[in-house]
Amino acid sequence: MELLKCVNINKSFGNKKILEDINLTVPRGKIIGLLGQNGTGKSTLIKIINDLLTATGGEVLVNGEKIGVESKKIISYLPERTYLDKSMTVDKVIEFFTDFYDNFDADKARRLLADLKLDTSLKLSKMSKGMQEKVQLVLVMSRKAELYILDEPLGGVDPATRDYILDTILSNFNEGASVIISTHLISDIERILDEVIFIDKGRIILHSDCDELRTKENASIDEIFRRMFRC
Amino acid sequence: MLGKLLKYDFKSILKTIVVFYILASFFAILTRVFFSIENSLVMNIIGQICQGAMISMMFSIIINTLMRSWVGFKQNLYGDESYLTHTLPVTKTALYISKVLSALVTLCLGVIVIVADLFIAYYSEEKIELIKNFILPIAENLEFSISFLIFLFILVVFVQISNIMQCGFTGIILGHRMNNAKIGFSVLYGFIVYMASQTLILAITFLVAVFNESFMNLFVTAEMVSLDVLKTALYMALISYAFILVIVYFINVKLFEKGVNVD
Amino acid sequence: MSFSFDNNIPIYIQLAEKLKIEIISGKLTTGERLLSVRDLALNYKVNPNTMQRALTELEEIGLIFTERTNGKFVTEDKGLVLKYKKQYADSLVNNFFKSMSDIGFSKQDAINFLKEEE
Repeated sequence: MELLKCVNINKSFGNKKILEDINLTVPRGKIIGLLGQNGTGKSTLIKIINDLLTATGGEVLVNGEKIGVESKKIISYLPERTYLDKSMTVDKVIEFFTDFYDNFDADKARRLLADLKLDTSLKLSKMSKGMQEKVQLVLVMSRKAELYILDEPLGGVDPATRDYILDTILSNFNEGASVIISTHLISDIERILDEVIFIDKGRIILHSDCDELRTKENASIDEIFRRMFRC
Repeated sequence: MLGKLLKYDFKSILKTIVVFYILASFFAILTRVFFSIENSLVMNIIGQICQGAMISMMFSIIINTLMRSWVGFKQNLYGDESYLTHTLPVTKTALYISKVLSALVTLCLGVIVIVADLFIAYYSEEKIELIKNFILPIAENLEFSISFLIFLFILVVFVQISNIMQCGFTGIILGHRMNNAKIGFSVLYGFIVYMASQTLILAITFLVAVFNESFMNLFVTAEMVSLDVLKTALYMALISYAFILVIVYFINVKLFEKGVNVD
Repeated sequence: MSFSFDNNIPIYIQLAEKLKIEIISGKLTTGERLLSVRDLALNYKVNPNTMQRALTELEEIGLIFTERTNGKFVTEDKGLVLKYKKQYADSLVNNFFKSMSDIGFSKQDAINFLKEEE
């Protein structure tokens, strides 16, 4: 059974088509880059998989079942925005995650937050946006999930933070799980990817193994992407 | 899981309302204190002011409970926080029920606080006697006890407010389903649903009146209606509001389960 | 530890190369037990699948072997390590001669040049 399968996903807002006939299969144990320029439908697809948007057509299957309580138990999702109740302290948020996610490892989260030298009795509203994003990443990666979906985790961060984020992802994702990372900053992450999906104007135009692609085109993923979408 | 949802929803709504509980109670006590000092015009005036403040706080309790429940509903299910809410491993129905129940419980609490504050501000044996003497003939005619009559009356008000609240939720859900997250539309839809529910209640009442002549007098005469009719009207109001509450509940859950499109 | 990779070449090939150098240089001694795939991947900041692939490459040429329960080890065959060391050195020297010939040195000139430089 495939971990994630999208069958003919379509999404439009009014007359505007955002996604068109997305067919996609994600196996276990892979790190997959969902690559595309801004506004090409990456986030829309991710939101549909996470039940935040309702597809106009087609269906999403997680472990063969439609999205719902079971899929949410095994998918750990990092949105591209800060989404926690900012009046909560970090301790409270940890409590919240412990309450709702059976697979949340609170000790691990505390350990990772201690590495950041973060005072967990602090309210989120008292922290910088960058720190809030790190807290979110730590929470998401502290779940023993089967599928991690990270939407633009590298958007607008400095190189040091970028290294921290990639490190945290690599060293914490559950063994045997898959990771989907959406980004338009390809050169930063291509070395950790197994597979890439190029998405443009709401369609998947390429889905390939990274190393095969490099060998075939004799170029980096970043370069191949640039060639395809030369503006 | 519903219990856990309730815990957080209840906390988050109560957090913003509790200040009004405290203020209303505070002014209730002051009202009592200043009114109890006799033969002083100044104290009486201060008492009047405190009384005014207390009453406005009581209205604030109800209005803010409603507003908070709507704002919370929107933020939590369609705003930034929805990214967490909708990815929790719970059903959409549970999310909705939790929102409704937490708001209802807060509303209940608000009513209790208001009643308690009224006691604090005005309680005296003579006044209770006075009220008793006023209500007793009605209650006796209806074959109710006084406390049951009062309870029934509060209950009618309560379900009425609950209906307003739920219609607001419908408005928010519809406002977002139409793919325009504009608040104006949500308010408009909420108002339309509320008017529709009121019309439905009126229709039910009228339907009953067609078959019940004395009840018909409610509509066609300006005369004082018999107390027997009042009894029927009270029960009718309760039953039809409960009916509307359930209908709107199912509509909302159905709409909600069809999926959302968050901002 | 951080390593730079050339994104134009499959990462696993570059990783295999790096590990091979560790072995032939003696940093990883014969018979030594390797870290787990996951830890190795973390050290090199790459995907565990990629590391696995690199190790498979090395296993195919016999430089490492797997004991079913204990993990992966560097080969105990010193001769084999020496063979790859020589092979690697050969390729380095060949590259050197090639580069020198590109700028007009004959093989003998290049050797003489090396001696002078020493």
